[in-house]
Amino acid sequence: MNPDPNHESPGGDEFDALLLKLSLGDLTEDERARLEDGVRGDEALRQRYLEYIEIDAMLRWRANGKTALNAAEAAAAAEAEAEAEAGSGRVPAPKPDGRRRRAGGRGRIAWIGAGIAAAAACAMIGFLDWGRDGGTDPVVAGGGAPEGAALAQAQSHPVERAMAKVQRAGDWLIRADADADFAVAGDGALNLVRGALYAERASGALADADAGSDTLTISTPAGTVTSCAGRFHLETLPIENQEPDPNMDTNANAKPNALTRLFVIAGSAILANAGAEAQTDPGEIAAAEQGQTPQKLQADGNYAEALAIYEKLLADRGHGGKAAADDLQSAFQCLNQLARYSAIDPLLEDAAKVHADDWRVLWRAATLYQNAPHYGSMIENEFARADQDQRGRRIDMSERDRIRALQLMAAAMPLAQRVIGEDGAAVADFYADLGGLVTGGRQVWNWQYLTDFSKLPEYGDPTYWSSNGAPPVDEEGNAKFYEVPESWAAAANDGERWRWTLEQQKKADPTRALRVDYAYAYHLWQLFGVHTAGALGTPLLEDGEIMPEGRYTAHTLTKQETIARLATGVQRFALPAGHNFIERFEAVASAPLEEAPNPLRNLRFKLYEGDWDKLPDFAKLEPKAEGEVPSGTFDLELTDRREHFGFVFEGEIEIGEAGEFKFQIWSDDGSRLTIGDFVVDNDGLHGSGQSNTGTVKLEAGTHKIRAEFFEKNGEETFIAQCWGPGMEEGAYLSRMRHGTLPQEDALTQLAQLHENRQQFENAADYWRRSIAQFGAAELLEARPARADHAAVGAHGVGAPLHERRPGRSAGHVPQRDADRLHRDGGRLRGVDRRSEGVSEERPGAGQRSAGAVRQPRRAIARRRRSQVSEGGEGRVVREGRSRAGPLEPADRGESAAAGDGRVLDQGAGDGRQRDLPARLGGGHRHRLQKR
Amino acid sequence: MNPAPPQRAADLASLDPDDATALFVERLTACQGQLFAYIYALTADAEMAKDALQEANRQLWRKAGDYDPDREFLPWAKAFAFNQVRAARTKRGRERLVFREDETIHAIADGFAAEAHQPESGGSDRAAALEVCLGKLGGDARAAIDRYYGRGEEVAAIAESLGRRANTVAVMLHRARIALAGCIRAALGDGETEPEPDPTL
Repeated sequence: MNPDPNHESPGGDEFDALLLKLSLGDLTEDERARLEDGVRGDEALRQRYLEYIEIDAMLRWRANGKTALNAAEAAAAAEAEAEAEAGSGRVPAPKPDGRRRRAGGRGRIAWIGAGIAAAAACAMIGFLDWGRDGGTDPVVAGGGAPEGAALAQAQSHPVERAMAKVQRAGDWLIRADADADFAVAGDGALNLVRGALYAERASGALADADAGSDTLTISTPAGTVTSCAGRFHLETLPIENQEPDPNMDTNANAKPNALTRLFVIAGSAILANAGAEAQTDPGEIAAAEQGQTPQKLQADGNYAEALAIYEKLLADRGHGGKAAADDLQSAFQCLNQLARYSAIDPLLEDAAKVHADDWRVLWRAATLYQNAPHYGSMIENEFARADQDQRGRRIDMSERDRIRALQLMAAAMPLAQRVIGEDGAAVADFYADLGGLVTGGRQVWNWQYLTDFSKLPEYGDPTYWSSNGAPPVDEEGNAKFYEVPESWAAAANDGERWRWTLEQQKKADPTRALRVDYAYAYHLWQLFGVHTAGALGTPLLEDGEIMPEGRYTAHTLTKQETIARLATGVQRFALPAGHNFIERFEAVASAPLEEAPNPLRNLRFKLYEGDWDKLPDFAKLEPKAEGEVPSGTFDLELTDRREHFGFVFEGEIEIGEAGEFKFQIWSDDGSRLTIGDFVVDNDGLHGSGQSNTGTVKLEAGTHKIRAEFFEKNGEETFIAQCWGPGMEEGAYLSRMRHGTLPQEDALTQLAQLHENRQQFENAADYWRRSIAQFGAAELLEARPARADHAAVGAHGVGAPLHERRPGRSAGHVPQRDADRLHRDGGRLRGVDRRSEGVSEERPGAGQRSAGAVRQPRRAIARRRRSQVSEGGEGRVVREGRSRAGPLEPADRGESAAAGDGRVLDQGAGDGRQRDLPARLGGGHRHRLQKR
Repeated sequence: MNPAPPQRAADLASLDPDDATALFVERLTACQGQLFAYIYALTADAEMAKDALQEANRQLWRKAGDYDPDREFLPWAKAFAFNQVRAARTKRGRERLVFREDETIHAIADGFAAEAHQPESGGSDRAAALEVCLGKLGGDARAAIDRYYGRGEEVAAIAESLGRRANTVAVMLHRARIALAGCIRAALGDGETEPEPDPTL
């Protein structure tokens, strides 16, 4: 029976002994490894293990005596979730087998309800039978409403030995862990003194019509949880390791402090007590200690108290994932607020240790290292971060922090890789951050070296910064480029590591592949575009004047060539294959458009005017105008009104392939989309960030569709998008869309960089392609840098455009844009006015510049189209009722305003200019007009 | 509680949706014990198995519409269970697992599938055999099983009330499990072994 550690693989007796120890749960690490070796490597032993464990399982299962309960619970939980999702506008999509599928969602719900009823009834009976026949003490009088029943014998039912018990409190199903100390206090009310429970609202046929209270209130020592629907997990536990407060009398009778933690699975619940209240939605955790939730404490400025709770949450291995990562960040913020910078490192290190297998926590710890103050002092050989007194030797921590962050990211990488199928977008974000860390905000010069992060730099090791921003060259004087390595480990330098992270982003989230390709092309252009030569301060080319033929004459460049400032000075050279930004931009620009074609047909509009707070009954109102919609989409451009108007669009939607279709609408203010009986409602006064979503099954063919919209005042937006068979990438039903596509950005870049190269024919070709593909619609954003540039443009005069705009009001220029404008304008004026100012950052100016994806803005680009095509004269006007299309013959110089590139609101006739929120970068609100 | 006899595939196509759901619930319900055993074998950890089963059930219910009644239920459900085990393993962290290598759990899953005695009936034969075999267990062993599994008492508590050492009770339970395994094997006709009365009891 004694294990013999000298055996190659465990013998029968040894294996037997290992099984015994396994059953007792006291295997040592060596024994565990022996057991695993046996099970994995020896088929006979594996059979022995299976036979043994199966008996163990059967005995455990038999003891539970509630075979049906799990299934019934699962059903009820799934339905509760479905209802919660439906309530929030997200419709779950249970897909019954085709033959048995029912058309409507309602039939499906009833259908589930009946099933649950059967299963639940079965469960309850089974449970009661077990209580009697098993000869054990019936711990719970299940099934009824046992008011005031004292429950749970903690000592005799440890969690490992017994499954949870189910009982009802009014219309609620409660499943408490066996060692929970709780009691039903009445209809819809519980007391939970200690332990954990799941609660979920009974629904469908499980719901008891006679049951009284809709809400469930659970009193815990730390706070009260109230929920009126949904499903949640609640835990009350004593606070351990609490240091006695020397100022307090030790009172033996005092109740120990308790921590209550609430995790909402579906619906929402409120955790409240005298001091604080926090509403918690699905996936969120709220905790209360002595009646306080950490979020509330933090919001109230009680950082030390909040921090204490966050730290306890973080010390719990079971509390992981994004919630724990968020708690870590909150704790970090508390420390900063408290100026306890020296506690930052222990906080992050402890979290990384406890959650060493949680990639999200490791990732967040790495991010927070980057956000920590990167300086401090050595005081008696102890490092004090951000030491305020500035005693001791001052230390720059930026490189050490970066290396530590890299170590954490490297540890998280294999873990993140495992969930790539489940959470690709998050993993892609992870690699974007990793790329940012690798390049580290450092000059491109440093990319040619491989950062060694196997060990941390000593405190006080000097950080080397290259002051030369120009790209390095090899021994032959050629610019250095970085290939994609086989793997992270195979990378020869940080440049290759960075390229590897870009490839990983594409793998993790293929939908952003084109964006990533664009980012690399953009990076190359930033480093090697002709503007870099000019940035030295020696203008390469003067406006309107072509320099004589020569080595640096940009207009003679072939597509393979560029002129750029390298470490060795301004050079003219050929870009190697794979690193030619023109070809790379071309590849992006030529990628097939992901967007599905517009499925709307025969669309007509009715325009109304009025002042509403929600959608009116348009049928009772007289339209001010009506007709066909030329753009064939929900199009707010049909009117020049910007306030107090409404639209009804009616037409058909053509469905090529039957299936489930998801519709999402964003609007400012309210809107509603109706297809047959199916409605997506986004009514009310709100900003454009508010959207609603619905899913409906549609047969192939045409269906009537109706969209209603109203605008009270302020900004106005209506975006509608739909996904389904044949529209996997999403089809826009509205003229306005989110953001710009990489294809369009690439064309804009190509046009602009050819302008920089003084190759205007090529530039015009790209503008034409862009206009033909994406329309000439123009967006005027409050982007002063661009406005400045455009206003100066070929004429080189005048104040920045935004300063000259008439009618500009705070309501039209979001503050963030105004701020950015100020910042960008200042920088641009100081650097390089003539070479294109599209980039927000210079190469190496920020760690995110390469890893994150930048979008060029279109405002100036569009304005430039007119300048290019027209030889410098052009105007951008807002046009009313016409489709976006190719340039029309222009009427040049109609007004002085047009000459300075200003954008007029011609339709309104008052010269007002409009701004759209920056987030609607692709809005088609203005267009070029040439007559 | 007892599962209904499995329906023939030919009958299923003509079922209306309500019956299809009832069938789904029946099958899901009937195989709970086997799913638990499967997950428990993969994890060797009752607490983890309980959670993974709960999650697998939830996933199964959500995917109820994808279930083809003509297919065997248990293998389909096991695939969900296996995924849940993998997720639970990731969440728990490697150093807290009994089986740390993915290869091991794959071997266990294969071994489980290879067992011939897993009829679609929900293992009710085995459950019945277990009851018979429990009846044949010696008094102390039976009492220990009932107290340990039925009431969830700790080994130490049982030992104390019996006036024995904890290790003795642990070994008693261990031998009872082995005896039960042999007895069930015999009862199901693939072996000759009868439960051996334990000389120590």
